[in-house]
Amino acid sequence: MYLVFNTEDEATNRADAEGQRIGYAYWISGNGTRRLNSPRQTKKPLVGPAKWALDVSQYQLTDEEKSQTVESVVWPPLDPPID
Amino acid sequence: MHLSLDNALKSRVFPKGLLDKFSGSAVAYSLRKLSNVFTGFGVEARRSGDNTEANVSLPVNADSSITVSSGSSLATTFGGFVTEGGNKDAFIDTWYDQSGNARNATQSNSLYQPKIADSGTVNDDLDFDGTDDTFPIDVGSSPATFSIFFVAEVEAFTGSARIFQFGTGNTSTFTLRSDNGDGTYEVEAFIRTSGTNGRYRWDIPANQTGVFSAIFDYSNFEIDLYLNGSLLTRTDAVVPTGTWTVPTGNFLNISGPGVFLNSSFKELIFYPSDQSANRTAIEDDINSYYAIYS
Repeated sequence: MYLVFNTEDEATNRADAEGQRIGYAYWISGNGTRRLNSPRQTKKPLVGPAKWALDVSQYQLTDEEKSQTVESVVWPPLDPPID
Repeated sequence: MHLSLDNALKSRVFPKGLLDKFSGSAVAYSLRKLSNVFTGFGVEARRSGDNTEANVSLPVNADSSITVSSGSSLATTFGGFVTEGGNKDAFIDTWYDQSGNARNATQSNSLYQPKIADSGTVNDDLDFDGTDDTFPIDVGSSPATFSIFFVAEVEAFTGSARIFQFGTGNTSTFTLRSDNGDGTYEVEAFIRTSGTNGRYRWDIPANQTGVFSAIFDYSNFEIDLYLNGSLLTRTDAVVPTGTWTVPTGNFLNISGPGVFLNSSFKELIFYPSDQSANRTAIEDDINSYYAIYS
């Protein structure tokens, strides 16, 4: 389950907010664990820039966010291609 | 009064670590102490439940002393830390570099951290889950040739997964990965160049903890892979063409990116040089501690 953002900063800020809510070490001591996960860039569409998807399966979401989630996104090809 | 010890006595009283005997590593990670000069911790661990974190002294085991770095704990040992208030899992967010270059491997995303303790039991390795666990590493300067020594159990072959990868991008990567393409356990070196990509394959035993040594010379795309001191025979070879430019960024990933490894690591040492002349002695040092093969 993903939330999709226009920019990496927006997605990272959401990941940071969840890490802060959980109370990871980074938000207490400035070091160590900071987030649950990080956003990944999606495949660039034919028109417009690529977006940033954040897996929020383990996040505490607002009702508004719940209504904005998607079950899947399209990723760019693996880097580098194997075989 | 001036006291002096002859060298033989010194070596018995203060036995040298692997990195004291074979210097020049770019990064060195282990759950044992690799150098007499290094005085830091082995890992920083986060326990499940309350996410308290603690630095763990070397060698890393249940009896290791700890220093709490975030949160609260009355435990004095790693074993006590993971059983305090109930049996906990523990994950590694920092694997400290013992090379002296301060290139600690850090993973600040909790879901990507390898596990070191299960339900209150401290394990003797870092378990990568095969889903998303990875440690990105900065290896510093660009090597023309490199040597990697690692102690790992390469397990759970389902398709393929990267043991480690040097560089990313569409050109010039070096990937060592597990593979079961023809139904047997294999390790494959995949060399992506500006021309035709190359690959070398070797069969390995299933689910065996081993001392692996890989020495790669990109000037002629030569790579040898050793397991437990023995040169493995290639089962397949496609020699690459074109050029392999040392990747920018100088980073190495244990597991991932993109395709993740379900395996466990005890140690990884990266030399930005050809260590062929020292290979046997380095392997002997590793095996003298872990007693993996005879």
